[in-house]
Amino acid sequence: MIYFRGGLIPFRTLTRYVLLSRDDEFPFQWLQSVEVPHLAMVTVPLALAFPEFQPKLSEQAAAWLELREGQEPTWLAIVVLAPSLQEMTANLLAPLAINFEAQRGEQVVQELDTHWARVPLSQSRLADAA
Amino acid sequence: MLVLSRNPGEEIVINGDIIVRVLAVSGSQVKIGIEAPPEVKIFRREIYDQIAEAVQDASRGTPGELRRALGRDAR
Repeated sequence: MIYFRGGLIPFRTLTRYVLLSRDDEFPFQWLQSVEVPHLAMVTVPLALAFPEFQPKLSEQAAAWLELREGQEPTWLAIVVLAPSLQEMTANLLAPLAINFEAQRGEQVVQELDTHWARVPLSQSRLADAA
Repeated sequence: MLVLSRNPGEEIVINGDIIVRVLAVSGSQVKIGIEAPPEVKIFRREIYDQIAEAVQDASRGTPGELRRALGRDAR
Protein backbone atom coordinates (compact mmCIF):
# COMPACT_ATOMS: atom_id res chain seq x y z
CA MET A 1 0.00 0.00 0.00
CA ILE A 2 1.22 3.49 -0.87
CA TYR A 3 -0.20 6.48 0.92
CA PHE A 4 -0.40 9.72 -1.10
CA ARG A 5 -1.12 12.21 1.66
CA GLY A 6 -2.83 14.79 -0.52
CA GLY A 7 -4.21 12.34 -3.07
CA LEU A 8 -3.54 12.87 -6.75
CA ILE A 9 -4.72 15.70 -8.95
CA PRO A 10 -7.66 15.48 -9.66
CA PHE A 11 -8.55 12.72 -7.16
CA ARG A 12 -7.67 14.65 -4.03
CA THR A 13 -9.65 12.55 -1.58
CA LEU A 14 -8.29 9.19 -2.79
CA THR A 15 -5.02 8.65 -0.96
CA ARG A 16 -4.36 4.89 -0.86
CA TYR A 17 -3.07 2.90 -3.79
CA VAL A 18 -1.28 -0.34 -4.59
CA LEU A 19 1.11 -0.89 -7.49
CA LEU A 20 0.35 -4.01 -9.53
CA SER A 21 2.83 -5.61 -11.95
CA ARG A 22 2.31 -8.36 -14.51
CA ASP A 23 5.13 -9.93 -16.49
CA ASP A 24 3.33 -9.37 -19.81
CA GLU A 25 2.86 -5.66 -19.12
CA PHE A 26 6.48 -4.88 -18.22
CA PRO A 27 7.67 -2.16 -17.70
CA PHE A 28 4.22 -0.76 -17.08
CA GLN A 29 2.49 -1.07 -13.72
CA TRP A 30 -1.03 -0.29 -12.60
CA LEU A 31 -1.54 2.18 -9.79
CA GLN A 32 -4.76 0.83 -8.33
CA SER A 33 -6.89 2.78 -5.89
CA VAL A 34 -7.64 0.84 -2.73
CA GLU A 35 -10.67 3.00 -2.02
CA VAL A 36 -12.31 2.94 -5.46
CA PRO A 37 -11.95 -0.47 -7.15
CA HIS A 38 -12.61 0.80 -10.68
CA LEU A 39 -9.94 3.52 -10.45
CA ALA A 40 -6.58 2.45 -11.80
CA MET A 41 -4.02 4.00 -14.09
CA VAL A 42 -0.98 2.81 -15.92
CA THR A 43 2.41 4.08 -14.80
CA VAL A 44 5.93 3.64 -16.07
CA PRO A 45 9.21 4.09 -14.16
CA LEU A 46 10.98 7.25 -15.30
CA ALA A 47 14.30 5.47 -14.88
CA LEU A 48 13.34 3.12 -17.73
CA ALA A 49 11.30 5.42 -19.98
CA PHE A 50 12.96 8.82 -19.55
CA PRO A 51 16.28 8.21 -17.76
CA GLU A 52 17.60 11.68 -18.68
CA PHE A 53 14.63 13.43 -17.09
CA GLN A 54 15.54 14.52 -13.57
CA PRO A 55 12.45 15.62 -11.65
CA LYS A 56 12.88 18.01 -8.76
CA LEU A 57 11.75 17.06 -5.28
CA SER A 58 11.10 19.73 -2.65
CA GLU A 59 12.61 19.36 0.81
CA GLN A 60 9.12 19.12 2.23
CA ALA A 61 8.23 16.25 -0.10
CA ALA A 62 11.51 14.47 0.70
CA ALA A 63 10.79 14.79 4.42
CA TRP A 64 7.24 13.50 3.99
CA LEU A 65 8.54 10.53 2.01
CA GLU A 66 10.97 9.83 4.88
CA LEU A 67 13.90 9.63 2.47
CA ARG A 68 17.26 9.23 4.12
CA GLU A 69 20.11 11.58 3.27
CA GLY A 70 21.09 10.92 -0.35
CA GLN A 71 18.26 8.42 -0.91
CA GLU A 72 16.31 8.87 -4.14
CA PRO A 73 12.63 8.04 -4.45
CA THR A 74 11.29 5.81 -7.21
CA TRP A 75 9.78 8.06 -9.86
CA LEU A 76 6.78 6.95 -11.90
CA ALA A 77 4.97 8.77 -14.68
CA ILE A 78 1.23 8.30 -15.18
CA VAL A 79 0.50 7.06 -18.70
CA VAL A 80 -2.43 7.72 -21.05
CA LEU A 81 -3.02 4.65 -23.20
CA ALA A 82 -3.35 4.71 -27.01
CA PRO A 83 -3.53 2.07 -29.77
CA SER A 84 0.26 1.88 -29.96
CA LEU A 85 3.11 2.41 -27.52
CA GLN A 86 4.44 5.26 -29.68
CA GLU A 87 1.20 7.20 -29.25
CA MET A 88 0.89 6.64 -25.52
CA THR A 89 1.85 9.66 -23.41
CA ALA A 90 3.54 10.05 -20.05
CA ASN A 91 2.85 12.82 -17.58
CA LEU A 92 6.24 14.32 -16.75
CA LEU A 93 4.65 17.52 -15.44
CA ALA A 94 3.36 15.74 -12.35
CA PRO A 95 5.39 12.56 -11.77
CA LEU A 96 4.93 10.41 -8.68
CA ALA A 97 7.74 10.10 -6.14
CA ILE A 98 7.47 6.94 -4.05
CA ASN A 99 9.40 5.53 -1.12
CA PHE A 100 8.30 1.90 -0.96
CA GLU A 101 10.00 1.37 2.43
CA ALA A 102 7.87 4.07 4.02
CA GLN A 103 4.88 3.19 1.80
CA ARG A 104 4.52 6.85 1.00
CA GLY A 105 4.11 8.71 -2.26
CA GLU A 106 3.68 12.22 -3.51
CA GLN A 107 2.62 13.68 -6.84
CA VAL A 108 5.28 16.29 -7.44
CA VAL A 109 4.32 19.06 -9.84
CA GLN A 110 7.38 20.28 -11.77
CA GLU A 111 8.13 23.81 -12.88
CA LEU A 112 7.49 23.06 -16.55
CA ASP A 113 5.17 24.01 -19.40
CA THR A 114 1.78 22.37 -19.80
CA HIS A 115 2.90 20.24 -22.77
CA TRP A 116 5.00 18.16 -20.35
CA ALA A 117 1.70 16.65 -19.11
CA ARG A 118 1.59 14.52 -22.30
CA VAL A 119 5.02 13.51 -23.55
CA PRO A 120 4.68 10.83 -26.28
CA LEU A 121 6.38 7.54 -25.49
CA SER A 122 7.76 7.74 -29.03
CA GLN A 123 10.27 10.12 -27.40
CA SER A 124 11.07 7.66 -24.63
CA ARG A 125 13.75 5.01 -24.26
CA LEU A 126 10.96 2.42 -24.61
CA ALA A 127 10.44 3.41 -28.24
CA ASP A 128 13.92 2.11 -29.11
CA ALA A 129 13.09 -1.33 -27.75
CA ALA A 130 9.62 -1.51 -29.34
CA MET B 1 -17.42 34.66 -6.31
CA LEU B 2 -16.23 37.15 -3.72
CA VAL B 3 -14.80 40.21 -5.44
CA LEU B 4 -12.44 42.59 -3.61
CA SER B 5 -10.54 45.64 -4.86
CA ARG B 6 -6.94 45.92 -3.67
CA ASN B 7 -4.09 48.32 -4.38
CA PRO B 8 -0.48 47.15 -4.86
CA GLY B 9 1.00 46.31 -1.46
CA GLU B 10 -2.39 45.45 0.03
CA GLU B 11 -3.25 41.95 1.16
CA ILE B 12 -6.05 39.46 1.62
CA VAL B 13 -6.06 36.96 4.50
CA ILE B 14 -7.71 33.58 3.90
CA ASN B 15 -8.44 31.27 6.80
CA GLY B 16 -5.97 33.13 9.01
CA ASP B 17 -2.91 31.40 7.55
CA ILE B 18 -2.97 32.18 3.83
CA ILE B 19 -1.91 35.65 2.75
CA VAL B 20 -2.36 36.92 -0.78
CA ARG B 21 -0.56 40.15 -1.63
CA VAL B 22 -0.85 42.24 -4.76
CA LEU B 23 2.80 43.02 -5.45
CA ALA B 24 2.57 45.04 -8.64
CA VAL B 25 0.28 45.89 -11.51
CA SER B 26 1.71 46.68 -14.92
CA GLY B 27 -0.58 46.92 -17.92
CA SER B 28 -2.80 43.86 -17.96
CA GLN B 29 -0.52 41.83 -15.74
CA VAL B 30 -0.87 41.51 -11.96
CA LYS B 31 1.96 40.15 -9.85
CA ILE B 32 0.66 38.25 -6.84
CA GLY B 33 2.55 36.93 -3.81
CA ILE B 34 1.11 34.09 -1.73
CA GLU B 35 2.20 32.94 1.72
CA ALA B 36 0.67 29.67 2.80
CA PRO B 37 1.46 26.60 4.92
CA PRO B 38 3.50 23.97 3.02
CA GLU B 39 0.57 21.55 2.74
CA VAL B 40 -1.39 24.13 0.74
CA LYS B 41 -0.77 23.35 -2.93
CA ILE B 42 -0.85 26.34 -5.23
CA PHE B 43 -0.89 26.05 -9.02
CA ARG B 44 -1.46 28.19 -12.05
CA ARG B 45 -4.92 27.24 -13.23
CA GLU B 46 -3.81 26.01 -16.68
CA ILE B 47 -1.12 23.77 -15.12
CA TYR B 48 -3.62 22.25 -12.71
CA ASP B 49 -6.16 21.67 -15.50
CA GLN B 50 -3.64 19.97 -17.80
CA ILE B 51 -2.53 17.61 -15.03
CA ALA B 52 -6.11 16.87 -14.01
CA GLU B 53 -7.12 16.12 -17.59
CA ALA B 54 -4.10 13.91 -18.29
CA VAL B 55 -4.57 11.90 -15.09
CA GLN B 56 -8.31 11.60 -15.74
CA ASP B 57 -7.58 10.29 -19.24
CA ALA B 58 -5.02 7.86 -17.80
CA SER B 59 -7.65 6.50 -15.40
CA ARG B 60 -9.80 5.42 -18.37
CA GLY B 61 -7.22 2.93 -19.64
CA THR B 62 -7.98 -0.80 -19.53
CA PRO B 63 -5.68 -3.84 -19.26
CA GLY B 64 -6.84 -4.99 -22.71
CA GLU B 65 -5.91 -1.63 -24.21
CA LEU B 66 -2.45 -1.79 -22.63
CA ARG B 67 -1.71 -5.31 -23.84
CA ARG B 68 -2.96 -4.52 -27.36
CA ALA B 69 -0.71 -1.45 -27.50
CA LEU B 70 2.19 -3.61 -26.40
CA GLY B 71 1.32 -6.23 -29.03
CA ARG B 72 0.93 -8.81 -26.28
CA ASP B 73 -2.76 -9.48 -26.63
CA ALA B 74 -3.23 -13.14 -25.86
CA ARG B 75 -6.61 -13.41 -27.60
